Amino acid sequence: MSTQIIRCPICLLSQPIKTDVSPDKALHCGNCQRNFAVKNGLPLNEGGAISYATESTPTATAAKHSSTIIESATPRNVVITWIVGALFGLIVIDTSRSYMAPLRGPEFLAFYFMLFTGLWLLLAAMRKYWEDSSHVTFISLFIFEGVGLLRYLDASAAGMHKFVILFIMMGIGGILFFVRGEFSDYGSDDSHSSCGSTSGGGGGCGGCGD
Amino acid sequence: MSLPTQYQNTIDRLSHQLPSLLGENLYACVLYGSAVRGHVVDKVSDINILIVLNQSTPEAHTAIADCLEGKIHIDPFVIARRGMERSFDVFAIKFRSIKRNYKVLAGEDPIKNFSVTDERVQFLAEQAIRNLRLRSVNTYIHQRKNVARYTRFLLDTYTALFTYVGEIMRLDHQDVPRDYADRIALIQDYFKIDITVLNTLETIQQHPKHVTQKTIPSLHHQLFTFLNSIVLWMEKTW
Repeated sequence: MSTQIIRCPICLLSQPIKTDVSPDKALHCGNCQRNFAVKNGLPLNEGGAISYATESTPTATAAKHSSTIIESATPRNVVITWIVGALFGLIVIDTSRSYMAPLRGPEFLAFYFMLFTGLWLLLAAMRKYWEDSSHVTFISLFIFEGVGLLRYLDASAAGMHKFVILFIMMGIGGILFFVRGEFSDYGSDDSHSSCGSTSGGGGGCGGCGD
Repeated sequence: MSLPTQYQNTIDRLSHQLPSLLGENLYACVLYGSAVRGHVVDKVSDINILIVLNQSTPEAHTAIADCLEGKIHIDPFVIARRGMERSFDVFAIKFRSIKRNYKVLAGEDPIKNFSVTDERVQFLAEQAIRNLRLRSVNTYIHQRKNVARYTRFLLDTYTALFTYVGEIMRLDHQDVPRDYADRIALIQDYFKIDITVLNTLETIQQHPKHVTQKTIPSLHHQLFTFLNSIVLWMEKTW
């Protein structure tokens, strides 16, 4: 998968898009808050757009995009995504809580890994069939982190005290969710970004005076 | 002279909105014309701004157009940074005029290093005066019964005329007064021509409603006579 950097034709802010995105796809610039079609975006340099592989480091990519991401998801889809996501999240967390309560540490970590895998696959399906936006990624992230946090609270109350591996899984899993979300966003039709007279002829003066 | 409140507010708004909207695409935004010279006539004068874009694109033009909407007419002079030197050459008189009185509202100072040869100014001044003469005839033929349009033409001509004639005199190292009204006597003395139209235009600038359908033929007569005299002067002198 490769992306190219294009710049907003109004304020020149850069944003990455997938190379095979439709030229007519509308993008939204997070700086000037205006929309423009991909075909009207400007190349990074005058010589043309720069294509590059997306094998950047996950941490760096996540950090780069977490604060500057923009997208063109419709408000209606965002609302539906969050409502459905919240309901789904509550069901997952509630079910997980009752299921994981009797689990011992290693058993829970195995369950937690499976939960991550399941959410990751669900996330990929959502991106493909519903809405490839950061909202979907964030909902998955909240569910994953929520289950981990509840486990920590419940287990602490029950007297457990070794949570290092859980915290590592929560950290790395969270980053992978986010990074994966960004890569997928590049590959979708939605776009994300790191972007932050003369009249009178003659002398060309149409009334400026001197 | 302080600016009327509406003008000052509009300029303040532009100073903030254009950099915010255009981001790094805005290389420079410069205020020039009557708002800097202090000759603003309330509800008559335009606000002149020079906008230099790093990339001049139709989308950026649309954004600028939206930003310039308002009660006061803003006359933007939008150019790209690329090829700016050539724009300086082509619009040398305009940039000479801007350079005398301007204020950077945002970004860099794009014209601090601007310079042009006297030969080019001479050529452009003659081209401009001849063009103005052509337009005066054309406008009279097509718009003599449209008072509003003809008045707008006269208002635009007012500043253009003083600018071009002023440049011609500056080429001869004349000390041209900043105030247009003060230039009239110098123009008469320098060119030895009838300057009635200049006084008339000065009055129309203050009172645009003085132009009526009845007065348009005589206004055209005055204007054409003046422009023709300048052209003849150039043909004889240069």
